[in-house]
Amino acid sequence: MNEKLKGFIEEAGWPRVIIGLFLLSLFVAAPFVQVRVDASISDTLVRFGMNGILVLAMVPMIQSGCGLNFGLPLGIIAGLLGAVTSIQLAFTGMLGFLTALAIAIPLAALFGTAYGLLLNRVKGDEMMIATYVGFSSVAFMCMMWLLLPYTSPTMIWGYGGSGLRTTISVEGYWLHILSDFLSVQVGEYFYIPTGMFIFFGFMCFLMWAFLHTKTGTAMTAVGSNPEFARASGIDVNRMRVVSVVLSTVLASIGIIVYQQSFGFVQLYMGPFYMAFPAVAAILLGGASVHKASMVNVVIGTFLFQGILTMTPSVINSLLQTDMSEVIRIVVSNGMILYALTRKVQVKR
Amino acid sequence: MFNRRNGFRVGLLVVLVLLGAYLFVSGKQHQMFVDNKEIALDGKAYPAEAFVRVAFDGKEPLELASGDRDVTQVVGPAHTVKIEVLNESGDVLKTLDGDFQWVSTPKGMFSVPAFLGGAPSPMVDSPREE
Amino acid sequence: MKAYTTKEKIQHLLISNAVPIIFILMSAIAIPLSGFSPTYLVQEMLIRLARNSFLVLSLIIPILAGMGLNFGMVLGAMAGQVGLILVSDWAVVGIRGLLLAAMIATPIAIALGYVCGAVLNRAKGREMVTSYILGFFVNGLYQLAVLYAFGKVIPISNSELVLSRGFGIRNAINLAGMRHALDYLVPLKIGNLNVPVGTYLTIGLFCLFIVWFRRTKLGQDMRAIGQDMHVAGAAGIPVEKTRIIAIIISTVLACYGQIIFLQNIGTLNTYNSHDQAGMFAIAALLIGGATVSKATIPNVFLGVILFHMMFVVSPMAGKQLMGQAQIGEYFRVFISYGIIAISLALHAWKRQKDRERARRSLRGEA
Repeated sequence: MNEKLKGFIEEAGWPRVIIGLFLLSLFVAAPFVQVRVDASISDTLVRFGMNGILVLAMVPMIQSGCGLNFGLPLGIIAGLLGAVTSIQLAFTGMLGFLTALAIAIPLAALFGTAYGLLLNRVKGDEMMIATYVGFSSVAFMCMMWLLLPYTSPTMIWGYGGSGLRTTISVEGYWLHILSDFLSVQVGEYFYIPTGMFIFFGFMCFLMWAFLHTKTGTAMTAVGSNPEFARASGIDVNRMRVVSVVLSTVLASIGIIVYQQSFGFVQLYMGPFYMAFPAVAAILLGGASVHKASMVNVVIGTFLFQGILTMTPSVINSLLQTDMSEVIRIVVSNGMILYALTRKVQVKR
Repeated sequence: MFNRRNGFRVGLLVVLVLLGAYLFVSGKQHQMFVDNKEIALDGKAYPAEAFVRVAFDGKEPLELASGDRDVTQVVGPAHTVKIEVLNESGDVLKTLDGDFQWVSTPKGMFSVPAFLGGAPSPMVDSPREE
Repeated sequence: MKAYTTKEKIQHLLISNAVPIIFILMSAIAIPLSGFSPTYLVQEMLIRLARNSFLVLSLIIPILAGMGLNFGMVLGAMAGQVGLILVSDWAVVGIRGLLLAAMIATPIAIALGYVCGAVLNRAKGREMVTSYILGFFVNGLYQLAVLYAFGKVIPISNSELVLSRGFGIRNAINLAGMRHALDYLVPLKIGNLNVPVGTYLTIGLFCLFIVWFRRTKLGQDMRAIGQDMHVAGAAGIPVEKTRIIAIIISTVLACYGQIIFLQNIGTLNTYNSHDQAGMFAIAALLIGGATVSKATIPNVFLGVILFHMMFVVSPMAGKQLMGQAQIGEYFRVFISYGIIAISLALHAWKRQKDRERARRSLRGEA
């Protein structure tokens, strides 16, 4: 028994076990400090659905050996452009949502191609450069949000100013369009956003299916052994670009799904740090810098979002102070740090 | 264990701690009340002056009429003070230069009459802050 | 060795200094647009040179040791801030306060530097991203300490520093007692310009230290490690230990740099001051023409001047050009991040090409 436990801990890694136990203890402690467990679980589920696709966006680049995609904001920006344009065109309901996707995806593919070509020139240093590509693209778009000629009165600054607002409500356009599809409401506090889960599941399935196509396996081969892949006639650079494009496109879809549930489009510095929670989540789910699966995505998102939901309510009522922000910083960055410093068999 | 290298290290550590203590004591800023009221110390009464001008450590002087109380900041344990006693029309009657030691926070008030009267220490109990 | 023609020399000069040249051109356009007077700009640059140079200089030694840009310098900045918070609680003022803050912060910085170095030894080849994340991680611990331990575990008596709930440090701390304590330690005024001589002297001393350090045995070892870790290891240099020392030195210096920075500003933003320190220092160094593998003292000063010139000028220039100061603000954020992205990318690209060339020469011309 002891051996088994040891093996399990070895397999999962200490940080995951600790965080898993921490989350479990939060759920156990919740009823004792007058925090409703059903509301907490429901919140966790909603956040899980909101963030799932953003976390899924990590998978292709990890698989192809490009590392953790800290450049996620680039895809998010494509998604934001789609969302904003769809609101500008005043499309509502499912049509508006689909328009947003239809605009975002080609843009993301475009950005992703350029980004992928850049990353091909900087092999070995992808993560740092990705971080700064993400940051600088967010800063660049900050200027663009002020300058782009959007005119919809729900989006531009009302009083005298020009440019888009920092947060734009999607209410009246496509608020909860996915979440409310076939949603289940039990009692006052419990709610399952079925539609969002279906969509997320569908995306995961597509990703899984893709990884089992010829291109997908080739991509994985590039990630696990580039020399071998080259020798067997795979175009390494092309595979890497494909993975980056996929990741960027998923990020753009992910943010639109996020917005329809959250209710707001966050512009300007909003997307700035969005890569970090996603990176932390997939690592928490058991992925490494070189390998990730759908299971990692699902488990990681659930654990990470669970902690984000539970810490404010439980810890706050326990200690009478708001420590959630600090816990979030320590957990997410600690997780990334752990993954980065794990001894890996480096092939040089 | 105790070789020259370790001895040197311990010495360095002691020097650093002493330096830190010196910096702490000599750099500490104190809030000091300045008082020109009649005061009785050890049974001896020191009457207030009509009008005085007090400058600590060569800084901007404070002007106090009889019964006035003011507050200032001083840094470190040892201070110089220059007191000018004035008459009604603002002429300097007499000037007194001297130095004194900061005692501690409960005795955080500098009494001008006590200093002029030659009391052992001009530092007296400071008023409780509201 | 073949002799280079003048044209080639100029070409080489232009290419290797492309970033500073672009920035000089940009400033040349933006300065007249902004409408600031030359006196104002000179005064601003004098202040900012004093304020930021030390922080930027602290990045040089890890670059020497081939560890890239030390994003972990924010660890040092945090240590410095802890020192300053304690010292302002004790109301120790003036230059003595700064020295005491530095003395308290040094052991913290050494400990953090050691941790950082040890972590980076486990992540060879991706030091930068790791030190970057480590910065965030330690930021979490710093907030934990400052928000919860200060006032509870560590006594804080000055109620002006503590949040109204009774523990945790306030958002902004006024360092009035220590403001400019080093800058104007030696007072000097030229015309209307205040010259922070004290800080310049400190920076000058530090430059001498770097020049001297490069020549020591340790400095030579670091350079060898920077060129090739494996060769250096084979030659009997203790690679891991030397790398840790490089990071410790950098962290401690960044800690002093942050103290100098804050005494110049006069206000400590408990929860943000250190965040920006790293980003601005790195951007300035890169704008000065340094790369991930090579940085000199002139790079530092040129970088600080150019970066901060743009920093001062761009909001006004943006306002004149676009009618909105906000555009200029975002522009300078964009430039800071963009320049880091481009410099890192160019460096990685060059390294990749070098590697390919080496591989090809190894295979032989077939």
